[in-house]
Amino acid sequence: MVIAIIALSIACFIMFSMLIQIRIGRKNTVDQIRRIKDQDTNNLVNIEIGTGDAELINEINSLLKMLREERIMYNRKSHDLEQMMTNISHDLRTPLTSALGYVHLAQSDGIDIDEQKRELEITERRLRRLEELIDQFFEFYKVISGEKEPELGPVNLIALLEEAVSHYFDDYNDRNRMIELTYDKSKILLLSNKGMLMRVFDNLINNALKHGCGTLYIHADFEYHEVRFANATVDKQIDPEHIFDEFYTTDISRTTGSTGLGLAIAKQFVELLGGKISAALDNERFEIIVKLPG
Amino acid sequence: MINMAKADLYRLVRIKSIYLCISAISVMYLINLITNQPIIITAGYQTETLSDSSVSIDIAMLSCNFNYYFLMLFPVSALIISDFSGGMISNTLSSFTSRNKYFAFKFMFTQCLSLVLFWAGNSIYYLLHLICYGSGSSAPANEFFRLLLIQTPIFIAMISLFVFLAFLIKRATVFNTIMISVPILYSGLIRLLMLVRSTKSFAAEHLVTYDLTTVFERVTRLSSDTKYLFEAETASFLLSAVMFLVGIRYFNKCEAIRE
Amino acid sequence: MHEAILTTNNLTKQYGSTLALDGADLTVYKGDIFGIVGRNGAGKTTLLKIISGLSNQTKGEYTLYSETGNDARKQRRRVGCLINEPSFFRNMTAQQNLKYYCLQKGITDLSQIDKVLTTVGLGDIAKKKFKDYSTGMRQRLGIAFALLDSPDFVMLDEPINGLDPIAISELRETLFRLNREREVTLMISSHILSDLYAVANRFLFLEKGRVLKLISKEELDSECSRCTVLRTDDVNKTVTVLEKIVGITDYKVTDKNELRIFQNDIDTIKVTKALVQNGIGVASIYDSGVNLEEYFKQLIGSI
Repeated sequence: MVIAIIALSIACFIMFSMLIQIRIGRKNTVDQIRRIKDQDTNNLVNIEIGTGDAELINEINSLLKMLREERIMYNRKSHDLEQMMTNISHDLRTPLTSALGYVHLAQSDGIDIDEQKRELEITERRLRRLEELIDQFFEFYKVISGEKEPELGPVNLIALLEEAVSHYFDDYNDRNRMIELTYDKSKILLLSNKGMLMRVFDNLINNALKHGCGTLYIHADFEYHEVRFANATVDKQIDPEHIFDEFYTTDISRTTGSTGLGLAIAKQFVELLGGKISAALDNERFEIIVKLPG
Repeated sequence: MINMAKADLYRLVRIKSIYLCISAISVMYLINLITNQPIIITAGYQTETLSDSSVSIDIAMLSCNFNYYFLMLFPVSALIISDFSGGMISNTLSSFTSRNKYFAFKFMFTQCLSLVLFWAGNSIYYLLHLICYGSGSSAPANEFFRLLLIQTPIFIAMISLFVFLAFLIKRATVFNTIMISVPILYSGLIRLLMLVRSTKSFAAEHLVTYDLTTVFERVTRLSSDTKYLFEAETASFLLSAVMFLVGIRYFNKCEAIRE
Repeated sequence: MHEAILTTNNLTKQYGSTLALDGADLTVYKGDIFGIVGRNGAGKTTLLKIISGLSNQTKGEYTLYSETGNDARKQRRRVGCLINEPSFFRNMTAQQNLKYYCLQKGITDLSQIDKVLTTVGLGDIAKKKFKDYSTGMRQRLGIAFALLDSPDFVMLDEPINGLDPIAISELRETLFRLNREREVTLMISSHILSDLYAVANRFLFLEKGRVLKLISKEELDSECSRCTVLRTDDVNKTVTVLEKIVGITDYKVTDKNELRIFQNDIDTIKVTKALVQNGIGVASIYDSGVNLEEYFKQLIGSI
């Protein structure tokens, strides 16, 4: 009888202290969550004192981690957006200002008709550039907001590449550069969207024109449905991981007329078409690989 | 605290010294069980219990519990000194653990671990002795465990002293040298004093009285002498408390890492 | 403006009669990679030790996440640090060592161990015992320990020590990634300015416990790049030509036939012409930054 009572009271004591431990642990968990909520912190919930529920805390922590990642991503995006706003307003302003200047000039008295015509031509070119920029901007947002659904049809990859190269042949020539297109089969048929694919190649060749140097090598691989764009570059700050981020430019103050949207659009389009795009920087050789589904 | 205890337990089962300690305890009791002779590690003088043949062997062995002084150097070294000498203490202290908490934890945890070893060692020995030699040559269980309980505060005071000295000295070699040499020198001194004068000198008498070996032995032998018991137990409690307070104060002021 | 994470106010530490730290004032802002440069014994470790709570200051105070004094300890969970050389249990593997600290800190998610080990590049040798590790691996394990509890502010004392060049560049990448992807503020000490230069964006120069200078990377760049190196066959004549004809007065003869001009708007063609016209052979003339180590030496020499 006595032994039973002693055993019972010991059991009661142990249970009671366990209960207290659990309460302390719960209080501690709540305190930590409150603290983390108030602070901009990487910290996660630990079992600092008392007994905690590891499973519950793990779940809370994975939520906290997700929240933290999103917050940092958001901060970075909004920072990028700020920079982009400056960039874009510069980009839009540059052709606009110069177009306005030429319009003023054309309007002034005592200018012969030939010169006026030439000035208007320049104005037109500036305005076209502006149009292109604005188009690019809207196009990107259409794509990422999912308004645009690609219609698929048979496309000859080689023909398309040749067409894209031809668009830029003169621009490259002007800078004493070359485009070398090679392929292992003269006809590679794919089920894809011609317009979008064209845009991708266009952007990639344009990007190499703006930021690269030397000959641009384009190689189409039949077996893997891959197109490789390789060129030399002097820019060592390129970050292959982030190059496809929207508004990525290595130099903010550069006024070469880049919005940083070209590669982002290319990436979005390739992904919409079910493909993959990646970049690699090996010493001074920069390469972009577009892999398309069969 | 619970976290630190978990962590230290995780570490303890992965290092040698705790196994060394347990095997040393086992060897000590095994020799005793085989020879049926009480074993005392200090090459000191014969205590009165040992020369008294009317006392059963297990009680005599209990009176020799000063042996644990040497055995407990292992856990103290493993738990406290290694943190200092390896520099791991800076890892712990630079996290949010405060010095007070660290000291209190180490104090408690070392006490708990040593007590577990002390009780388990003695209890298992008693059972084995009972099995080997039968109840005829063993002391009754309640008598044995009563004496063990009486010894416990003294044991705790001893461990408190260890913890304090470990925090004070911080270096493994110095700590071990001091802890091992002091009792040997102490008993050597007593024997020397006894040799010089054939009659027990006043100084030697006093030295013997305050020797831990004697204290362990006397509380066992004179367990009915309440006055002596009371003195010994009170002194033990006081020593433990003082060691804790002085230690925590010292540790708060000292540099954690040696320069 | 960014949030100030750490502010120190007249922080002083005295060991016996020597002042290890003499009235240090500094502020670390969120997102900084804060480099502490100083020779051995300049007070770098002392500063980090005080802030990490390993040692108490003699005078002054510091504010960590806007909490001062004893309250600063409450914020210590947001700080991860590696002070002195990395020390761990020798007979345990890297994984076991980190598991020990996970248990101690009450980290429930043990997959965190493998994550931090992979971050510092120890993923494939996590099962090796600490005593078998090389200096570089130990250093990395120390950094892994500092990152274990998902900190916001990481203090590393000489993390580059004992690392080979490849490991240094890997570490740099890791630190940049932490800083960018998790918004971790870093405070790194080193006695080699050029190593730190590649990582940090603000620099604190310490010497004999005193703060010599606290400058940003841009300021350091501009202070280091104001010089033109001129090599001729006759330095003495060159000096007169420079002073009388070209009108350059801010220069320093650095070698038998080399001098440095610290004026930043000189016309090198004009200088060359003037020198050649006066019969001086010009071996070379080029713009150059002051070597970082030289800059450091000059700074120390200036007190």
